[in-house]
Amino acid sequence: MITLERIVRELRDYDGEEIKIMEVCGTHTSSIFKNGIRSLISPKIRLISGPGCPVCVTPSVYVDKLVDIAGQEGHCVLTFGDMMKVKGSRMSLTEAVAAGARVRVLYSPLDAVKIALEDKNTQYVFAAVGFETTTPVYGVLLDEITKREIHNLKLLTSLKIMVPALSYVCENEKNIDAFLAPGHVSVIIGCDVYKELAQKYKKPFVVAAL
Amino acid sequence: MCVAVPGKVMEINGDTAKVDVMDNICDVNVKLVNVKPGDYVLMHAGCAIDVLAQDTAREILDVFAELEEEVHDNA
Repeated sequence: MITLERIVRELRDYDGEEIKIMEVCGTHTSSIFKNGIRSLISPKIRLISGPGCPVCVTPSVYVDKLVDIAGQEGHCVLTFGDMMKVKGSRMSLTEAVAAGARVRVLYSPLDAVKIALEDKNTQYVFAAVGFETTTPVYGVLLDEITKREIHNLKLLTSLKIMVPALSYVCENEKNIDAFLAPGHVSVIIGCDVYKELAQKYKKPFVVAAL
Repeated sequence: MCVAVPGKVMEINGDTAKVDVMDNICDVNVKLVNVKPGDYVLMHAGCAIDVLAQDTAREILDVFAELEEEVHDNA
């Protein structure tokens, strides 16, 4: 029987050829770091952060636009907290707030509906970033905006899809041996897309999330 | 923002459900899924994005409980 102890031992004692595993999702990177997984595995197994953090792959020009909007009279940017410290070419949203701009951090994009209805004199703009996991939530938000005829809530989108990013990595980073595929994205898109990549590039993919 | 957590649907009122996440009761939009009280859902950014089998949900919640214990012990 394969026990957790045996897996830990094998990962720690591995002394074969160097293996590079890309953790595709930002949550993977965070979980691996928080749980000290790097310290449990052999130095011959390298974990490489991938392109799957929607905040990290946000272009600076997008942050610049948010900063401009937040600084406009009668405007307010609504955002996930993760975006606050991302640098644009001039400043981050945190720095924009310090300079007098209006920004509010929300847990859910759907909270924006109530905020917009309560203050119709302000034009709210939600910083809609994300991959496939978050996109359906924006769909629900747009549905609410349309149904309730809310005119002071808009979305500035920077939405991405995972497979082209992974295809690019497979095509251009030949030295990656395996991929830890994003779990929450796979809740939306399923696992078949990885089969195609695995067959084309002859690399193993394992879907995992926490 | 990428984190998704499982919870148990307690009651449903229109598009919004009361969901129990490790003893915290949260309001969750359930427009994207077909659920009834007693079902487990996977929540992301205030929205249920999937319905989970009970044993899968319990397994994930157990891992979260274990992690919380670890974090608490090391705090």
